[in-house]
Amino acid sequence: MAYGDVRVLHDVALRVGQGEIVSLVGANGAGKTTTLRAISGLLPALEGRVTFDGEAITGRAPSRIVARGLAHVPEGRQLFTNMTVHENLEMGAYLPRAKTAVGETLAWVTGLFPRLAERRTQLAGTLSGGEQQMLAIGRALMSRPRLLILDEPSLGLAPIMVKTIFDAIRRINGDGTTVLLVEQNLAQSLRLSHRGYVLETGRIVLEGSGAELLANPHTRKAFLGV
Amino acid sequence: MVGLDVVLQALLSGLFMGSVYALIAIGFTLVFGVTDIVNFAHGHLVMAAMFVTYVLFKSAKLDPYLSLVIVLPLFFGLGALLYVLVIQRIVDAPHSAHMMVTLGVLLLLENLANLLFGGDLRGVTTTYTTSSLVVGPVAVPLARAGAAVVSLLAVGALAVFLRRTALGKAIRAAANNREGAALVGVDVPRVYLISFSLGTMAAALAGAVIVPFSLVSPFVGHEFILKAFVIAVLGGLGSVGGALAGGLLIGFVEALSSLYISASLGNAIVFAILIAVLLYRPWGIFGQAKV
Ligand SMILES: Nc1ncnc2c1ncn2[C@@H]1O[C@H](COP(=O)(O)OP(=O)(O)OP(=O)(O)O)[C@@H](O)[C@H]1O
Ligand SMILES: [Mg+2]
Repeated sequence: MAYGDVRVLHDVALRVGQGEIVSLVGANGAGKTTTLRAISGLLPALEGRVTFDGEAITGRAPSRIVARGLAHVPEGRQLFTNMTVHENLEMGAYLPRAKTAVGETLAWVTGLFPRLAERRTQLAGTLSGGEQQMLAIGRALMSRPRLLILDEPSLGLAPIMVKTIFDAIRRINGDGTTVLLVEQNLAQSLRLSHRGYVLETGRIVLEGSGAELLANPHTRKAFLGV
Repeated sequence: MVGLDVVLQALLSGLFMGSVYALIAIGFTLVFGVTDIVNFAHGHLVMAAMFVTYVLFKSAKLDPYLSLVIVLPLFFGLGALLYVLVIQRIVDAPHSAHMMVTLGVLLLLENLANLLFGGDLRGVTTTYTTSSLVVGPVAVPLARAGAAVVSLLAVGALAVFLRRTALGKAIRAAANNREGAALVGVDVPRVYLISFSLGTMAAALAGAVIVPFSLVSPFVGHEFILKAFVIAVLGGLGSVGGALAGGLLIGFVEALSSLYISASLGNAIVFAILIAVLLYRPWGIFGQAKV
């Protein structure tokens, strides 16, 4: 992966098994967002391969990748700010496969985030940060993904809201959705995850179960400052 | 002192031309809102459609309204072709590149028209070109009224399309957040292509329906793009409702200023408004401030 001539990912091999929550953690600028964007097709990869369900999806357009059942909640949320909460959710079910089940999925999503039902007719741009994050996750879920990719969902949120989001991620996974989670909030995300990878300047330097990584002196020193 | 009937007559003509301007401006603002491209050739697409309509009338006696059956699909296709061959290559480039390339298309269209038709003003005379219907104190010119009705219907249809249909919503979503749209499965390049083609078709529709009462030359496009630009800025760039209001406003301003001040100052006044808006309300009179 490179931006212009600057290569930012060198050696990133990660695997997410069905039903898992996998964390990808690392300092600012390590390349976490770039990795996710390469997976969901927002960035063309220089080399390397992304396979999903045994099928190569490298270099496909993002719209084709969502259609295969992979939904990405991007950095900055990228909501349709001029559209209502309901329209955003409806757009989440844009593809035919999702559209046929829109009522059922909507019930599931508003069950996870009742706040979204209350704010149904409000413009997405006027929501609070936490509500916007709920909407971004809700919109992604509307496509009925098998793999949900989250880029720093807790960024900038108050602790109580962080807890709401992490609880929701646990429930989403419990309902059968595989999750790939990028976080700076290391302790909480590793506690939630089955496994994790540590990314440093474009390279995976460590991998292990959530508990192992939490206990690892290197991780503790580099990211928790202890 | 000008009589009330004269003022009413002017307001009516402002309403009629304003509706056509609104349609032209909506095509322009739709393209900008979705693709972020300021298409300086937009007015020249109006001109090109006027010539096609003119030729169809002269060669096949086809009434301008009937010729829409040919003109609309033709220009939707031409818009698509122009997008694929030219615009798509620069869509991610900076605004300066958009400007140079679309100005290039403008010159190409203008020179092509000049080559084919020469620089003279040309027009057609339909059975209704000079007809009008007297209603109380005013005479309603039928050709202009027809152009206004068709323009307003088209604006309404476009608004409904953007609000209600799946493709319309996808266009709005891509205009609002391109990455977000791609991530929910919208084929963004296709939406860009369709939006550009629709914008071109709006220009062509306006061009065709004014042929019964307007003269065409290779140079009339400048007037249209200037008005479309002013209207789009007034309405808040990218806003369909704003462009409708802006179009009507410019129509009224033009009609009243030619009545009270001077017809030749009409454009100067339109631009004075543009400058004032850019200075004091750069998000448009009808638009909302964005942060
Ligand atoms: N559009 C871009 N153009 C050039 N360089 C970029 C671009 N986006 C990111 N980079 C660079 O790529 C590297 C990795 O960035 P990336 O956004 O993937 O990091 P990250 O791990 O997500 O960081 P953060 O935790 O701050 O979000 C950084 O050095 C960054 O400066
Ligand atoms: Mg990031």
